[in-house]
Amino acid sequence: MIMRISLLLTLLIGLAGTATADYVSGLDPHGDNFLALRSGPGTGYAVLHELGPNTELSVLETSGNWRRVVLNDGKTGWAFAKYIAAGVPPVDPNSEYPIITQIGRTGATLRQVTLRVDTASDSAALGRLRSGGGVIVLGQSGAWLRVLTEAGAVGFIPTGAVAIGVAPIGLQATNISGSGKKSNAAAPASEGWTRYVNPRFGTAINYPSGLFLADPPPANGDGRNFRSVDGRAEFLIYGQYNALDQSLSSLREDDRSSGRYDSVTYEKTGNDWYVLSGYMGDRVYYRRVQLTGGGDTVHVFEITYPPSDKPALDPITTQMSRSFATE
Amino acid sequence: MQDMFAACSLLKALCLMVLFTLPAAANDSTASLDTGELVLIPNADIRLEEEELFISPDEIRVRYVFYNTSSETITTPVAFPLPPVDYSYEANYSADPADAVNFVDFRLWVDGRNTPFQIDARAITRDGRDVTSLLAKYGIPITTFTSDEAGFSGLRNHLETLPRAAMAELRSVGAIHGPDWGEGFYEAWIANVAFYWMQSFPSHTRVVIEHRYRPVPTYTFYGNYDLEAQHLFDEACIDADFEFGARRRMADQPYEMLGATILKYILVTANNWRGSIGRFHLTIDKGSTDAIVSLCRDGIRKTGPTIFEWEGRDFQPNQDLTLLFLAPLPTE
Repeated sequence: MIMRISLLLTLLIGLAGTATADYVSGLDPHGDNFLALRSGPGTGYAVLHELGPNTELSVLETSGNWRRVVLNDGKTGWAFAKYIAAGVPPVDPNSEYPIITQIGRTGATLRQVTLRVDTASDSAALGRLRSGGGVIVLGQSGAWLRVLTEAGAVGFIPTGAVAIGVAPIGLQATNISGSGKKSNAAAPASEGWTRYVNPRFGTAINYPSGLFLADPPPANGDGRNFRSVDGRAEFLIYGQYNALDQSLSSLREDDRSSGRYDSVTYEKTGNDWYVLSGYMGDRVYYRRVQLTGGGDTVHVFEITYPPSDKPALDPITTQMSRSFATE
Repeated sequence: MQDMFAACSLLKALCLMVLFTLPAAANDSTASLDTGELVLIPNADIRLEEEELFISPDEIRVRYVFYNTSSETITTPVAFPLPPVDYSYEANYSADPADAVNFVDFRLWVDGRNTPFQIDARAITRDGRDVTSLLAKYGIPITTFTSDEAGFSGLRNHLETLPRAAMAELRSVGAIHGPDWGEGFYEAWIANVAFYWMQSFPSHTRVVIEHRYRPVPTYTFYGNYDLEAQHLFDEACIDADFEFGARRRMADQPYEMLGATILKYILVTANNWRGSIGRFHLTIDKGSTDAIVSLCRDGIRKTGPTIFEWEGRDFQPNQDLTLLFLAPLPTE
């Protein structure tokens, strides 16, 4: 349990550090007035896109004065840190466009946070919200969200303290073995990540059980399909005998020529594993394939989600991939 | 323009828009507030077994049947947040309510009993300042929707007779904008209104939640030009039958113009908190046998002179509903 909580904290801290909102700021309006999104951390790398003032993005990684960022449409690249500010861009009071609203969406707090009466950090506190607690967004005000908490309180919290679309911790149903403890909204954060082990092939992975629920098992017991609470993300994990005795490179080439993984933006191969990642249609995918038993058995972890969920799910995918193993 | 006013006087919503809208509207449509489903914090132990959704141009009613699959009572908030009323963008919403806060006349029943709920209503400026209490201090309602012209004039007069310092204060925080002195002001705040309550879901028990409200759709004119331009053809899946019906009705009308109600109901965002719906039943009432309706959903059956129905099992919405109602302009 301690390990689970520490994993959960790692996840939450990781999210807080990498997935909060940032935006392009401080450009010279009399200059070219854009920030170059480059393929690598340096001016020698190719310019992929030109980002205008107030372009929203999220920082994924730091390298010196450079930041690897993801845009809201899922594009990633490197940008010079000086022109990236934390938070959400200021709203232009004279803008003729309506505000983009998160109203009606649900989310989970990324850390302990104070619920406040007003949109100021020195305004009166209504209470303290637990990390991973569920909220419903009722209103929006610049860098603040007006939220209804799982306990029924209403107040303001900073926008960056919430991961929209992420299920709260401690509200998930029965775990996949069918014997897990159920908890309700009042329960403390007791469950963060769960380990799934496929009984037939020993394929195993840790996953955030507050976010993903298992589909019914297939008849052959090869693996499981999991779906996020909001239905947007999906992952599958399974094992199978390497019936055709294929080599690692032959399996990888089969994947690449299958048409399913039509765009590959990341590829890495080890002694007995490979990873493909990119876009399948309008969804992001990450696929890790592992051979064990001298190539007798193939284990697969594959996750897909919409690009808009990258800030929340890229770090989770990394965690899951690291835990992918056989037992 | 004379023609426009002649036609406008026939259609209440558009009439209100022209009379009551100070910022010049750049088009002849009212703005919509697209509403959707009740919102629960995701809880895998609470299943949405059934949903019956009734949509007409004047009323939306929804009946949900929830089931708590766990062995414990779950008490959790349920919310119905309205989209932001953004005066600073377009003020021409067609709403003429009795109550400026509950301006959609939201009502709630739980297990058949009329049930009280809380209302959260905040006025927020575009740069993130909460001006709710400031508006209250000067007797300004959170929305300036009102059911009659007298109420509308009363509000304008009230504001314009406020002390100069009060107007200056409202202006300085960005709650209103307009000239420093003299007639006229524009609301610059954004109204966020939400209805919510704490709901208990007893173990292994069904709970029926029903609510109803008046939608705030877009009202506009629809004529031959719109058909030629294929206006809303994609959004509402207009087919040849609908087009034929529209042309036939237009031929009988002054200016060959019909009144259009464009009503959008958001189904997809709710995937955020719920899985698939065990049984989803959609009923559409076009309101009058003179009206026609089009939307993107195959397999809809006509079950009454003005009624259409559709039902799905284990339904996971993958698109929102956009309904286009066309009807002759009222001839009162």
